[in-house]
Amino acid sequence: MKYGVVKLTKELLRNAIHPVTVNYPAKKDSLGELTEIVDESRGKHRFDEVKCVGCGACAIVCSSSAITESDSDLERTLSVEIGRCIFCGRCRDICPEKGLELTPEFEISKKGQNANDCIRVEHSVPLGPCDKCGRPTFPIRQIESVKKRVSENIDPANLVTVNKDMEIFMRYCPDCRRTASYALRTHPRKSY
Amino acid sequence: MGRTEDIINGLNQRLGTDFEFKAGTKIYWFYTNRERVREIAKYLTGEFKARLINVSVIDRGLNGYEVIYHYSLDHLDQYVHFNVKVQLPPEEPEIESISDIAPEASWSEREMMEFTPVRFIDHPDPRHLWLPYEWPNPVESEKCEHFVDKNGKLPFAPDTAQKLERSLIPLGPYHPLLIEGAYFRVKLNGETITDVDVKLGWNHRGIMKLFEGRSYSRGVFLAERVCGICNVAHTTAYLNAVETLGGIEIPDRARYIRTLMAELERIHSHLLWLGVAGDLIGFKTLFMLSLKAREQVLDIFESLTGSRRAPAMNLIGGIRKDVKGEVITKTNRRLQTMKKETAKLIEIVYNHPLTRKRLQGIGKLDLFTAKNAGAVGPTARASGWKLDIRQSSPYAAYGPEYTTWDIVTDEGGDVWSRAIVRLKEILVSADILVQCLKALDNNTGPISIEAADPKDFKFNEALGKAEAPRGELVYYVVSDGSNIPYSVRIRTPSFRNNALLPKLLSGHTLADAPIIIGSIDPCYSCTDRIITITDSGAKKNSNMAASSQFAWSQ
Amino acid sequence: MELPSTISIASIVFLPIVSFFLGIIYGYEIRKVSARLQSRRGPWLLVPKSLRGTLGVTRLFQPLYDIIKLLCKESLIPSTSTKGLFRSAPYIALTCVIVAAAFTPVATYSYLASFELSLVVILYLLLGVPFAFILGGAASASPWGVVGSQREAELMLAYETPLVIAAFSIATMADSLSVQKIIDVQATRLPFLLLNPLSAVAFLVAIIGKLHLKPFDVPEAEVEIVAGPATEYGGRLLAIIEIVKTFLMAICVGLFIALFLAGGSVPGYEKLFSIPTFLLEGLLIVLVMTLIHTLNPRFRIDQALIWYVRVPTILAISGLVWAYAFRHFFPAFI
Repeated sequence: MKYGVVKLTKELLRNAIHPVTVNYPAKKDSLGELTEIVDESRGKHRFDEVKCVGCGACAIVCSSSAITESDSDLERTLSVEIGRCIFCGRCRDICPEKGLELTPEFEISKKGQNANDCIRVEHSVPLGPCDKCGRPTFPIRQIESVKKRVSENIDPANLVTVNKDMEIFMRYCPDCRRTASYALRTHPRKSY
Repeated sequence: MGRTEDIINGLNQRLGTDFEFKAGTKIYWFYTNRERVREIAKYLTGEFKARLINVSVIDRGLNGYEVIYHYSLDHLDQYVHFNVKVQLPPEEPEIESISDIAPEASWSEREMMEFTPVRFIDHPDPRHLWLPYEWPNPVESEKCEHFVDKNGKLPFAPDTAQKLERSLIPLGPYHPLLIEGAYFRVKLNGETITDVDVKLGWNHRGIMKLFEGRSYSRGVFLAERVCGICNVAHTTAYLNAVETLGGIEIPDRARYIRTLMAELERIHSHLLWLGVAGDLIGFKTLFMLSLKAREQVLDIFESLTGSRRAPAMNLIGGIRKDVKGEVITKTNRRLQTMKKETAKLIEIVYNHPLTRKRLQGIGKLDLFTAKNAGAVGPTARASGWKLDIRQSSPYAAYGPEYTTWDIVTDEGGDVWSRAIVRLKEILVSADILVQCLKALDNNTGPISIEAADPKDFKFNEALGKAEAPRGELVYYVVSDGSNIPYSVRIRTPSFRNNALLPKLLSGHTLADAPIIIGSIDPCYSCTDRIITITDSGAKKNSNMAASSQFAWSQ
Repeated sequence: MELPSTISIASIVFLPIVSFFLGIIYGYEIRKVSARLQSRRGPWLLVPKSLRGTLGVTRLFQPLYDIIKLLCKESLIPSTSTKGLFRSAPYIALTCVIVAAAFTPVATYSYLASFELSLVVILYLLLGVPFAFILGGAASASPWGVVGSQREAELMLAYETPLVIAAFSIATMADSLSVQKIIDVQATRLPFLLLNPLSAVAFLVAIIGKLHLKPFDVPEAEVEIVAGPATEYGGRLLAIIEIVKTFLMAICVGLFIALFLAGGSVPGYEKLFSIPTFLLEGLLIVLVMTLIHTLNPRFRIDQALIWYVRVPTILAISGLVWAYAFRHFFPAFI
């Protein structure tokens, strides 16, 4: 029994030479190796300026409703409220353009008076106007991206027709599409 | 299977109940009326030693309330469960309590009485479990008159110093002994504890209600945040239930990775327990050393998933991110370091003269009491009962065709045995991890499959179980065809083990109280997501050790 | 007896201050050594250059800074407590311990230590500290204070026995109850650590209990009774309690050195080397106590009592018997 105390003493004396407390930010981890920034780490968000099209899929799928999208006349803004985020990474997984990434930056606290003062990561894309009424419809880049995806994945026999249709329909907002559906021959009863 | 058929035939003959069997699972559903409930309980728990694991009440709106008694027979027959359903009319939601037949029902029924208007008649202790005592009950009424005792005082108000016959020490809700909030009102006689009054609910966040507003895939992240120590176990149990609903079979590679996460979590939880137990007997050095060993496990988590806790790897249908390449080599190396440090810790615990003196001989739980009260997890295994959900209802890669391992038990039943069981389980978990990593190296395949559309779900309710580091974790998910669950009921292992505390603590000194409370590894975040408060004998001056076996529901 | 000169009066006031700072250094050593043994770092002995602006060059007086911080805070008095006794208990302990510090020699010098009964006076005054804690804990209307006072009383009975028996066996060997005489006897012959090691071990273990170091810090067990008798104290009163503990540490270590290690004097070079030797021996004793403090968990109170009766008391009684035998068989040595 007393032998255990002797072994513990030896262990403790060994500890005295190698403390595990390291400086901040850590250069070495508990194996004594240099820490690397892990690829999978989930920290502050970063919207890619070119790739993000403003589709809003991240806002729909967010687990804690931290991402909101709001439209003004000219642009659509996607805003991530870091205070609500749980860093699950579903937004990154679902983005169709790989335009949202979670960087390893983890120092994202801020002093503030109330909960709405937290850091927000924002990104805006320009909205395209409707050809008929002039109101903002969809982001321009989203339209281009949808056109590209449809043309790549569709049966080549239908390609010409679909491209022509997309040229017409993608320029109208949903209200104008409805009112002009008879003229554009997209009304469901167009066969009468 | 023979035993199951006997039960079904017996129930059919005696009680004329009809049953329904859901193909693809081994769960039997019995529909009965409220008068038969006590007979069925006596039959199942008496003759066939079924375990009553939970009592749930689902609110069906205009159709009334459904009371479901979940009996589990999987410690005798793999995967078999019996669910007994009773439909109660909305204008008269009363049913007789079965707490005197099966003591495990006591806390579950109190919880359900607090959530829903269902009344369990003749319940021996119908006080609130989570809400404050003076909160009106039933929750719709305004009156709380029947909550004051004969002097007109609310039972929760502390006695003033002049009125004490014996001293009444409040352990909590704010005390250095506890990591989270819980209130044990301890009646002392000198230094000996004569009675304990357990009140919980300080960490209640209403999670079971939050589940009802979120889709299934969002619910995975909510389940992860029920408890800070057993995240992976909660997601695994929830996904076991949801994948049963959808009839999804996850691929092999996903099974191995889920097992990897779960076993890593078990190691980290047991090392943390060792540190906290050392702190509770005053051994600060053991606390520091075991947290140092635990750092290796957290670094493994970070290199595999990107975050130390709440790894968020599980997804409906499999895993979100693969594990391959050189990260496996690094994980193996970290595991070896962790095993060496754990071996040193086990030697310290075994060979230091004072740890044995403090831990041996206190908080005894014999096998009969453990089986009666429904103890789960290492608390039950330390009394000699081979109960482990990973072998009773195998999930992920725990079945015999994937990995081989043994259940760890010990005969003593006291705090020392529970410590030994947990320490040995760390070594068993490390062994399972090595097998999983080797299988991952050899195996190739997808890591997830497409989830089913909720309209095509095969069943509309399912029971999912997992072995958390503290014991058996049960999720009961009810769906209504949309992508949002209708109701989710959780029964955590600490919920069951905390009910044992009045029995374990009485007769010991105050100096032993912290380590006995710590030895059942209470996790109040897990316990408090439901409201159940059991108070045992705060008015009586009883010596619990001398009263009968079923006395703790009084 | 002639009136003491001004130098002697000045030294009576000066000696407790020196003891206080010695106690601070011993307190720092406990924190630093126990941290290093547990793979932590402890307070900095030499602060790195980038932080010297805010933290200063060294954190050697960290316990003193903690006491100063406590002195600046408000102390709350519970309304149901016995206010007079609650407020005065720490001051009673402080008075006892300052006077005892004036009697304890530092580096073989203390004017009052040459009084014929100085050993008795020191041991008597040191009893005032647990008494004051027991009264203060009972006067604070808190269940933790009551339980802590009970445990302090039981532990006091346990450790006072070997302490007093070991001290008196040394007094027997030196044939005097004056601490100065005991030091002088050792300075000319051998230190009593070598002549009577049984009493030395018993005294050391009794001191570990007196200073509430593990494995005997039962009255201050924070997982069971929050802080024992000191639970309801805060602010200035808690600072007084911390000062008392610092003094107690210095007095106990100084007494050990005086009784067993010739007060720090080196034979032949008394005046030259007594100060560094005293410091070195003090740090060494505190190192041994810290090692025991880090290696062990806490006893339960009944286990502590039984252990104290078994090991140190029997050692102390054997030391007493040995002292008498020594005086009988080797009278020329004294």
